[in-house]
Amino acid sequence: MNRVSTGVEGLDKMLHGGLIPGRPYVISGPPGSGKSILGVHFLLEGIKNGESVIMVAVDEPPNEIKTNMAHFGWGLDRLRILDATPDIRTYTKGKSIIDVGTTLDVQDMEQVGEMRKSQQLRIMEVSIHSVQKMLKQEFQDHFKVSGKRYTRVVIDSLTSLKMFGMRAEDRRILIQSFLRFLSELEATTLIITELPRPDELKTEFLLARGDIRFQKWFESNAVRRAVSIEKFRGSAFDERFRPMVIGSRGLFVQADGEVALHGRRSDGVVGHFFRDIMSEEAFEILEEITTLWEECEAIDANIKDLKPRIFRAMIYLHMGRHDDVVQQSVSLLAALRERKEKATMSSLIER
Amino acid sequence: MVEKIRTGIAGLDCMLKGGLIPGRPYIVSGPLGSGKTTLCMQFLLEGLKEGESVLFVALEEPPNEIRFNMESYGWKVGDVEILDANSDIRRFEPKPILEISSEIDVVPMKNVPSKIRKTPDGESRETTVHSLQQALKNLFKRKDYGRIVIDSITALRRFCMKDFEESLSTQSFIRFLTEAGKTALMTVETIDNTGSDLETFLARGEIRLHKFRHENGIKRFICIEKYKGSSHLEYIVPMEIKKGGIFVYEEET
Repeated sequence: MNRVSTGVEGLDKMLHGGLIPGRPYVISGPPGSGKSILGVHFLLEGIKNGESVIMVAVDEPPNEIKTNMAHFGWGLDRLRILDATPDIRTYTKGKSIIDVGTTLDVQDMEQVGEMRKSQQLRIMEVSIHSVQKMLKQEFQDHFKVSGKRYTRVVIDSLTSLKMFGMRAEDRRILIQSFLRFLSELEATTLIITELPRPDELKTEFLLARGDIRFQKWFESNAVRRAVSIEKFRGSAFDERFRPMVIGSRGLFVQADGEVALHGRRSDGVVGHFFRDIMSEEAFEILEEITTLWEECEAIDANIKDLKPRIFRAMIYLHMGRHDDVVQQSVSLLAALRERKEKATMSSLIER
Repeated sequence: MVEKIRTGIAGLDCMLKGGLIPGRPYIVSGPLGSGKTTLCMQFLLEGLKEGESVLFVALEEPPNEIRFNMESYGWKVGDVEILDANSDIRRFEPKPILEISSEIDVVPMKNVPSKIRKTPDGESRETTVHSLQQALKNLFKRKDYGRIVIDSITALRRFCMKDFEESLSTQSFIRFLTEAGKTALMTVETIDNTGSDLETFLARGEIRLHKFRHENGIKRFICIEKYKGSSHLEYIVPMEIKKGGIFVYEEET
């Protein structure tokens, strides 16, 4: 079947060959997990195949992207980049604010020099609408000039676009419309975005045809990384977490590697992603506690002072604060065992 | 005993003690990628097998992609009729907005082009809950659909109820399906494996799909949360999604 390579071999393997072309996908992960690097891999792969590709830069100005990616030694010169970073806001009245959509700014990476300076008289503002307009214009212009359609697009990032670009309007409908717009471009699009909160269903995750998710955490002092496919419409995929490193040549995914998830908690960075595992662990440990509690009650062991802590652990579990449950429980378990032993001993002595 | 209709998944029929009571709306809930659309398509294909006309109302994905995705299971979906209720790219300038009831027609899946429908330059199509209801009403007059799928109620609520009150409109939409006497599956996106309040309350039953991340991959389960007018299996059953669709590992005892 016809698939689009992400430019990262191990990831393609996880996707059973690559992405299904012409659809929008989400790349999510915490800051510094490698999302933008994947974006560049994906575009370079296209350039390698002679395709037309474009990056929409909302987070960082093109000159910074150029610097950041320089040390991977990639030939970025032919990468087309659309500068959609908003200008410095000025607070003087009377300046006219213009939409970036009206001043199309697309360059080859090669030409990227200094950062665009905010102008004295007008300020560029970015909105989802203006980005849409710019992209559409650029698609048409590019087709006129080269006779080719863009086949790969990276939006870096939707998070910023939402922050800067959508204030008054209904976000859900705007994002639905934006994804529809991207679908109609018929290019394969990667949308870079932050991790979703566990209790919230974001529209981009609902509508994207796939979600490649990066994880990052600390093990002793080292940064560890993993990647998983959370959603992929129309295809089977590797359902495991796979280890990933950011090396001198960019991302490397070890498609046959294992990620051990044991003993990983409270580091905050992994956050809710191992929540399922955490909750299982928390449930088990609390069950152990309640069993011990009952046993203690049965032999009249004095555990009165421990009860509030047990209740607190239960409340934490209820609130989904599994980290805290586990933390509380470790010392609780030890204390309960000690009391139980004591009570058993003294009853033996009495006899 | 009421006669029941099969869902197209043998294990699920066992869980439902024979299948679904016809003529009522049901919820299929679950997190992203849990298999809701797949389950619904199996339900429609079962209807085709029985010689019924079946209708898929698409609110989340364009029809061309649904067709592609479902064919990857190895299914022949050509005779499933599909109503493209996806809204166009929104206009930011005031332009004529066409309501879908007057615009859209239903096509069998085999006639769905391989490319996505493009928003025309001059005008934009927008689906509202009201216009969808109207469109369905007209359709039901023309043809007797045995089975209907609404994919999804979540999208309907998010994107099609801008000027409507969400709870009331949802209630009214489900009421409309009930009055039409259609056996309908409606998908609802859940977060965190918790349920959806309103739709579940309104529907006659809820089939919930679970998806848990595990060290060795994804584990999937299915359970019946609610089923008015019938007994059903009370516990969670493991399931798998593979070539051929959803398989539920529950046998008649």
